Amino acid sequence: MGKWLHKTLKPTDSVESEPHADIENLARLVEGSIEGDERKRLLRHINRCSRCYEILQETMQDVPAETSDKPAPIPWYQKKSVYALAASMLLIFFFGAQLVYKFQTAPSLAATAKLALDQELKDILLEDSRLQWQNVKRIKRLLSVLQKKGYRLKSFDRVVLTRPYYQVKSLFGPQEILHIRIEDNVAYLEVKAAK
Amino acid sequence: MVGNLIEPEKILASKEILEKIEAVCKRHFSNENDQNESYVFILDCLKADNFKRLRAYKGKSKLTTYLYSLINSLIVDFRRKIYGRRRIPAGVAKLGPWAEAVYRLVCWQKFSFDDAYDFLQVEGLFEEPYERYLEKIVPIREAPCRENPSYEALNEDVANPMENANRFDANPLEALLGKLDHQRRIKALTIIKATTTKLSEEDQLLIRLVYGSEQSVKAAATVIGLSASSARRRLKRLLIRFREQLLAEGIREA
Ligand SMILES: [Zn+2]
Repeated sequence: MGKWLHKTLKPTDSVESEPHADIENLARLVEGSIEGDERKRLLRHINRCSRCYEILQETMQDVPAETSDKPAPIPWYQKKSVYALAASMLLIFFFGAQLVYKFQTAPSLAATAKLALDQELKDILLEDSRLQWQNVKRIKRLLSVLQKKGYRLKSFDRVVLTRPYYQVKSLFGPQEILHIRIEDNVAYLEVKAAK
Repeated sequence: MVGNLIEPEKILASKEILEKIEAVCKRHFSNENDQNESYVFILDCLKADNFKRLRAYKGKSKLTTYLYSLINSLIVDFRRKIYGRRRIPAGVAKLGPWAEAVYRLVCWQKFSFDDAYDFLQVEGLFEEPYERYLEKIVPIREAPCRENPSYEALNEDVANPMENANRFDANPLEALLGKLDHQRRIKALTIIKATTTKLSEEDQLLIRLVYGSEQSVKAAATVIGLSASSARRRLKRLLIRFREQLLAEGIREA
């Protein structure tokens, strides 16, 4: 999300004197089923109320996701156990063959890899927006996630994002691929859309 | 009868609905603690007063959309609650409102100190030059910040990630801002803010949603009652207006 405009264009005035928009009316607004003066009044309020604006904008994010063909999200408490195992098996099945050996030093250690970006990796990438990672714990976490997924990669102690990564919003949940290249102990990461 | 529209007990017993709530919590919070806590908070609120919030549904929107609005409104409440619990360190607070704003922006909202400077300028909270800012924030940088462990690092040496991003085709205003230096960016933000508030309610919200929240044009168009293609035409016109305002103040792409 564009950080400058996100903050600047968010309504800041708090309209203390009038009541907040009705939740159901905000829902109708998202659906486009509210019209005329009723909508006008609502828009007037939302342009001046950070709370109602936020609820509207967040609901808009959830609702299109709802209409897409994406399978229901897996609850986070299940993700770590069975799901993680199944997912990494699937990953190896789909992407294992795509491991590319380019700058190879040890026979079994890859210097480049491509893998599907899942929530676990995404969380690490989105932790902050620095291109050069300085947080040792974060780097270690990335390493351990890669290992858990069955990737045997050359070791690295620095991470550089070659391009800033932002969460992509899409109706169909875009498939994104994390490209990793390791050179001189530095892992260069780049997220690209799957072709 | 309105009361019979839904059966709140059934809603809260539905695995699908509970998973939706979880998904929203997860989208909002990266920290597992906050995810769990917000989830429990939402369920408690939904059950409160004999499911008052669920019973308020009148059937004018789809139930799912209503639930999402409701859940997101409770997330806003929850966030307010946990922010209310957080305290600004006394050493920061005594420096004044500008310092509290910096602390909130950097520690809680995870902006960089550099970004915080620009926002202070736009809000008129800090009028002094950047060099003075760097001197004055020393005690803020030394203050504890539990929410953001990488807080101390001022990423001067890291290239501004906005500069080489290629995702701005869809957001030309943000793209422009990324190319400007501090001073001109602050000026541009002030102009954009002022221009926006002068627009009609529909146009304002369109701009906020598409360029501020990066919603799809189609979704934003639905909200203001336009077709996607009319909204696209309208955005084009509005961008020209922004451009004119910026040019009039001497802001152009470097
Ligand atoms: Zn409101």
